[in-house]
Amino acid sequence: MPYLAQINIAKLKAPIDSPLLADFAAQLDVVNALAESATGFIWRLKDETGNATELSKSSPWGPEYIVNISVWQDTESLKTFAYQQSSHVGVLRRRNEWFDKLDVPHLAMWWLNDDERPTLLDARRRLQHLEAQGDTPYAFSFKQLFAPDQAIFPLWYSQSILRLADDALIHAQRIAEWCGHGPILEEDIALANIGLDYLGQARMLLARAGQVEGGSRGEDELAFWRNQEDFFNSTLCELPNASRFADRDYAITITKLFLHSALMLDKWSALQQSTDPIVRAVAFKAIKETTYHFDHSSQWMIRFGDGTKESHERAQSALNVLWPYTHEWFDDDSIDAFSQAAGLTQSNSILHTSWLARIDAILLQAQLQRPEGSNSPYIGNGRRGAHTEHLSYLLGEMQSVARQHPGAQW
Amino acid sequence: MNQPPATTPQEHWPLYEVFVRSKQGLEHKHCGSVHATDDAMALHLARDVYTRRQEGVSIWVVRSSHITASLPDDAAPFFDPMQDKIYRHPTFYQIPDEIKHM
Repeated sequence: MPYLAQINIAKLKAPIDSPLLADFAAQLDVVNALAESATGFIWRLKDETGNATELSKSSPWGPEYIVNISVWQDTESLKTFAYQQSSHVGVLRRRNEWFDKLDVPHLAMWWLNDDERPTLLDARRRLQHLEAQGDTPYAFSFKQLFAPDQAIFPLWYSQSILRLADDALIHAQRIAEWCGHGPILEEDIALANIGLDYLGQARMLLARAGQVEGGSRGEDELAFWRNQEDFFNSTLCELPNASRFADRDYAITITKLFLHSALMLDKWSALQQSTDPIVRAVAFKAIKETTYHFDHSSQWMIRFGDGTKESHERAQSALNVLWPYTHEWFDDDSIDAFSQAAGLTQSNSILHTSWLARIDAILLQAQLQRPEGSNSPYIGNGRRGAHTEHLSYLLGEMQSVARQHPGAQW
Repeated sequence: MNQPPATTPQEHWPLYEVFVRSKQGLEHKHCGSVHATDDAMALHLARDVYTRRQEGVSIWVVRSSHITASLPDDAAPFFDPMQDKIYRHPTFYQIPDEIKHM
């Protein structure tokens, strides 16, 4: 069932704890409590203080803005609270005393999937989109409302493809770090080949993403000129090759490849039915590559697990460290919902059982333990553009040449 | 990580000879060797080292230690006696024009 997310921002005339804002600050907790008991209220972003003022200080807009993000049953329930609830209307009436008038949109709404929760970064993207493109299903205001199923817009389409492309690109870059440092010469070449497979997939998908978003950005612009928050790879792909055992731990790299290729086997075979001809073509090519990646990494998992005491310990540790990041792969959010409705991609959650079966079969042979699951697992936010610090270092290295020599050619 | 291993992997890992068939119908040709811990790994690594530019459609790997080879010192008794036996070559026949590629 779709829910409505909203963000609104306000620029404070003075710090929140100053006398000018005292009346506003005093009402904040009351209004928030009223919101929470309002009909149709689902969720709001809050910090340890119970409201979002502390979070706002470190928000992308800077400390002079306060940010309010919440989730509602529908546009009606939000509208009723915002414009009819007397305490909130009271705050609205006095807004010119406390806030500067903004010449950009201060409120944006969009539809979420089920239990999805908005993030600050995503909310900012929506607000920026509303500013640049006006009301669209991706981000709209009360001027023009959209129904949850109205989403014929290229943004979710290109973001869906970028999720696939960025997984491949970032994974390729991490693998490339082994170039010349492989455990033996032959395996060094084998791993470089695998990295190049990923890079090939990334290039075709990036070019396609650029095409569907309007054609102004090609694969190079998308790879080298996007900033961290505009990358949509899952978090696992950006994690470093380092572990507590070594700065470059082959068990980490192989375990990542093992977990990811097991996923991609099912994903690529589902994507062979995609409505997008390029995605379909990539899937046909990639399934063969991925079959080999899974085979190669599985053989290593078995050698590690069933090898020496140290190799077993390192492989088990790599599994334990990486496991929580795999939950993100089986999550379906609103972007996925649009993309699945259009037949571009297929359900993520449906892949989980088959993925586990593949993993379990190899772990059994390797005599490794599958880490315990959890009832409320951590879900990474990489696919929504919120990344770990590791990605910034990776991008720094990957993008530096292109950015130092713009437009350079071989 | 602080102590270097007593022996390098190269000294440990067995050597395999690699034979690649470049096209259906042609023979497997020896093209090099790889180090690997087991047969499956040898096949994977041979694929990655020797067929990455579409050189092959089939690969054989065999442990180098399983190959019994003639010794350079034996070359004289092994091969020299054949030098003066040119009648073993089918060069005394007239090959008809219609038969090509002989």
